[in-house]
Amino acid sequence: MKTYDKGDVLPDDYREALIGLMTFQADSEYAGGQRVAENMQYAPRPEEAYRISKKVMEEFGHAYYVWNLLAELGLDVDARLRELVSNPDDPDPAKVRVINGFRKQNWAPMFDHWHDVALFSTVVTPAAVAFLGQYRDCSYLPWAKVNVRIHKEEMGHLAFGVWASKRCIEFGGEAARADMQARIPKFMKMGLGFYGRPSKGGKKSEMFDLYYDYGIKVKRPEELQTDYLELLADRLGQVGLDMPDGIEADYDMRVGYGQDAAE
Amino acid sequence: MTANPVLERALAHLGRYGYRGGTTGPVEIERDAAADWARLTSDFDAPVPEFGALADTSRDAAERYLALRHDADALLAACEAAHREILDDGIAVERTERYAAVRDAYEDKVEEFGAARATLAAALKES
Repeated sequence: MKTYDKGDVLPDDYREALIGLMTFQADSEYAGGQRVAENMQYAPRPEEAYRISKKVMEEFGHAYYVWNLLAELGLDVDARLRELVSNPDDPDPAKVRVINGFRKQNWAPMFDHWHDVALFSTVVTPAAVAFLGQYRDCSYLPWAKVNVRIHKEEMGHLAFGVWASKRCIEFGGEAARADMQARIPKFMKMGLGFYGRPSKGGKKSEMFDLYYDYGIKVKRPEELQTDYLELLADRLGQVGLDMPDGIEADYDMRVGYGQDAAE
Repeated sequence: MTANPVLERALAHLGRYGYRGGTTGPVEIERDAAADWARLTSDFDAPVPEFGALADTSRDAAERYLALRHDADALLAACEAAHREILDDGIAVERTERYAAVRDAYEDKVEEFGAARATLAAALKES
């Protein structure tokens, strides 16, 4: 795999594909931080509130790491931040590239209780860990390095989900466990859709082959699904929840970003 | 100074527990252990005594727990300030690293706060 470092001349189509994925990551990390911030309203206890505020600050930090790289590639990243801060409920798609799942109109209906907040980090975050984890080995070395840092923090978010879910059951007993079990499928659909459509067949992503051939994405969706389901089974087991059967991926939330996610 | 309403509304929820950060920076508040304690008792899964009625072993652990919340608040206010600096002056590597440094310190303090809560919960059960 040919790699590129800071300051290297990038082939035009490589540069376009790279910037497409990096802007999706950066803009969506910031928007994701805003959504997590809105979920602070559900924090039922002091430690939960402090721990989720820490997550908000981390998500913003992830955006800054990637925006710094995009600035080096010539993008006006301050304009992107301004758009997200001044128009958080409905940022202009012509100015920022936020994945559907992190847009407020798609996100907010998924949450009406702290159990949802705890489960998001238990059930969806393993998909983020698997998906973003692949960028640690991508062909654009500055982005790979930044994603090593981000991946470590995403693992912390996964630990937050397990901790928060266990606390829900500690305080709420079996009724809480049953309520949480019933909420898992909606998040698992989102998790299964995170890494995008299959790499082969009629439903394949139009852009996947380009990303893969250039080493920008280094794992096929099928491999990421295996990684995700292993992580998810382990974390649900730690909490004492069961993995539901027969859940279909929701690709329309387009949480896993790619060039075709903008269509 | 650039307004950031989503973040400000979110952190206002910490006001229930005593946080007084925000756009004007941290506010020095006289510490009142009994009042601080009363704000945080929901952190425990069983009823707890008032601060003045705590057994000696629990009281020491409670004082550490309360102190760590104040320390965390100061660091969160610093995080807010570093975030505002980026909004006001622009995204840049040195400002991002300043933000990351105070954010890491805040995160460590929240972890300590959580550990202190667990220690205190065990002491309360024993007393």
